[in-house]
Amino acid sequence: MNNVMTFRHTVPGWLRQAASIAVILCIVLAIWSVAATLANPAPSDPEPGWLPANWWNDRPILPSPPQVAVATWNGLFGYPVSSPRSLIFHAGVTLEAALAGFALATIIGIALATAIVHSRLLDKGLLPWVIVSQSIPVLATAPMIVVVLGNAGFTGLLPKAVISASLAFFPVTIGMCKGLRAAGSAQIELLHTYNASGSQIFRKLRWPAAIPYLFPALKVAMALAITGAIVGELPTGAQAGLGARLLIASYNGLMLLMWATLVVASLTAGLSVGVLTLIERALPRFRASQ
Amino acid sequence: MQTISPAPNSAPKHVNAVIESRPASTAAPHSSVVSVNGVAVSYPSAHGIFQALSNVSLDVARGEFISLIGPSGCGKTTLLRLIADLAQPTSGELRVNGGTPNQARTDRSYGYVFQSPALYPWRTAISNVMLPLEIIGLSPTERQQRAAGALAAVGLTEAAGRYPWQLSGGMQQRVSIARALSLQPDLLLMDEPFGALDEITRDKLNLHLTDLWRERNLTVIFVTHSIPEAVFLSTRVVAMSANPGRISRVIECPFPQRRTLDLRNTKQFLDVSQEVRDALSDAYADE
Repeated sequence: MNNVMTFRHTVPGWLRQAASIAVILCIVLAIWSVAATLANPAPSDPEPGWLPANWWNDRPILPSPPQVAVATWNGLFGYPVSSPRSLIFHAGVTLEAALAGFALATIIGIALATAIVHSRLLDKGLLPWVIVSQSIPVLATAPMIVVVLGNAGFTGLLPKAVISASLAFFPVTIGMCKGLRAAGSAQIELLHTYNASGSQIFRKLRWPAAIPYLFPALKVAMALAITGAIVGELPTGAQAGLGARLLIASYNGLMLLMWATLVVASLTAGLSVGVLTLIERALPRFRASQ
Repeated sequence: MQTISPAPNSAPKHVNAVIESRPASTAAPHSSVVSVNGVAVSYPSAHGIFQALSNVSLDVARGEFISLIGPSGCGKTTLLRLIADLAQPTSGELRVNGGTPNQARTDRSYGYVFQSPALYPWRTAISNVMLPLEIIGLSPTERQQRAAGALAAVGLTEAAGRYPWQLSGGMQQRVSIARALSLQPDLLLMDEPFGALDEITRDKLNLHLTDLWRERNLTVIFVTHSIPEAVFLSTRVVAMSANPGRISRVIECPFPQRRTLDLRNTKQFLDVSQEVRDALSDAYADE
């Protein structure tokens, strides 16, 4: 008891969080290592070393953790950033589309939520469609969007951004619907007693009251935007981007490249969400009244 | 304000509604700040029609402090909301400053204090007080001045830069009173503003409020559950009862304008309190 108390009180919060993350990571790595040992045949000419020989199989079925780490490192830093073999280059291409899609999704999501909150008709008529839209697999809609936009003369970034936005607008819409309705009835009636206009009620109350709901929604949207951009690269026959890289790896059975690309995709998503978290923290004053 | 009332206002009156076409007997330009005449409010509920208010009439003169007191469901808050134009009567007529409650609201001629402070948590105390001034479009310097004045009036100059969560419940409610005062209204409508506060804080705020009322020559309509609070603050206490919501008795509180907490130990105060208690026990017996 006493020890627990001192641990709680002397170890800063971030360190405790880092420790719990590390524990989970170790468990995952352990399971992964066992699986890699069981899954892979030993290479014909095993290199000497203290790690199991089949961890270094050239064409592994399930690459081992150090193998993926090395492949990721090489992919990121083994080539100049401008090289088509550099994963930083491909991540940049995907991130560009994802950010465009994220921006589009944020605008569409906020606009839809504003409309839905202000009109009972749209609340009843539009919201179901927004929800249904998410039950259609993006793999099915992505080629359609590519074809339609391609015929209209848009290729490259825009179709990918649209596909990405079609996933990412959803959490923004739902989050902002809730956020824009978060103001209490007394807070709203207060503005009525001042004879405030609808737009004043929106600017002075509904919008600021929604901000705490906006950021969690934006973080989910960012992760979805990156997924969407990757998926958007699959049917476009893109030459560049993490999606294109995954496709090449998949065609050629390059499991290592596939894993490394996925790791880089996760890192990209993690970093983007991290940036949003920093922005949220930099907004100084918001704290709900307790 | 009195100079405008009768003639120029009569034109838009006819535009408004059925209520306006009634004989204008009580709407005549006497000095009532608020006049309520035969007002009823009813709405459908699970058990048939619910009579929130039935045949309520009340005249409030300039400078009065009126407390509405009674069991829950007696319609005291509803009556306050009718005066503030936050709810509409089913029948009957209300006048505020000689016009309709809607005109009073669009003229911003009253300040309303809610049961909860209803502060905006993303605004500091002073910025909360400036909110109504932003709505009416005052210049930033004027806002700042007026809000600082209003905060000083409730003794919160020190707390101007603090956020609501950094303030105690009593301080939050004082900020909300400052916010109501910042529009400099003559009429203050208060819905159980001190209901959630402890007794000592409540006493302090009661003293504050009675001083503000006297110094600024306010007219106040005040909803409360507390008999001592009502008697201490008011010029008249309106005892209400429920089912249907109605006024059962109006009790005068014939004390001097300047009031201190000592007043509560006088025989006269205890007599009036007893009178209110008797009126209310009848009301509660109905329940």
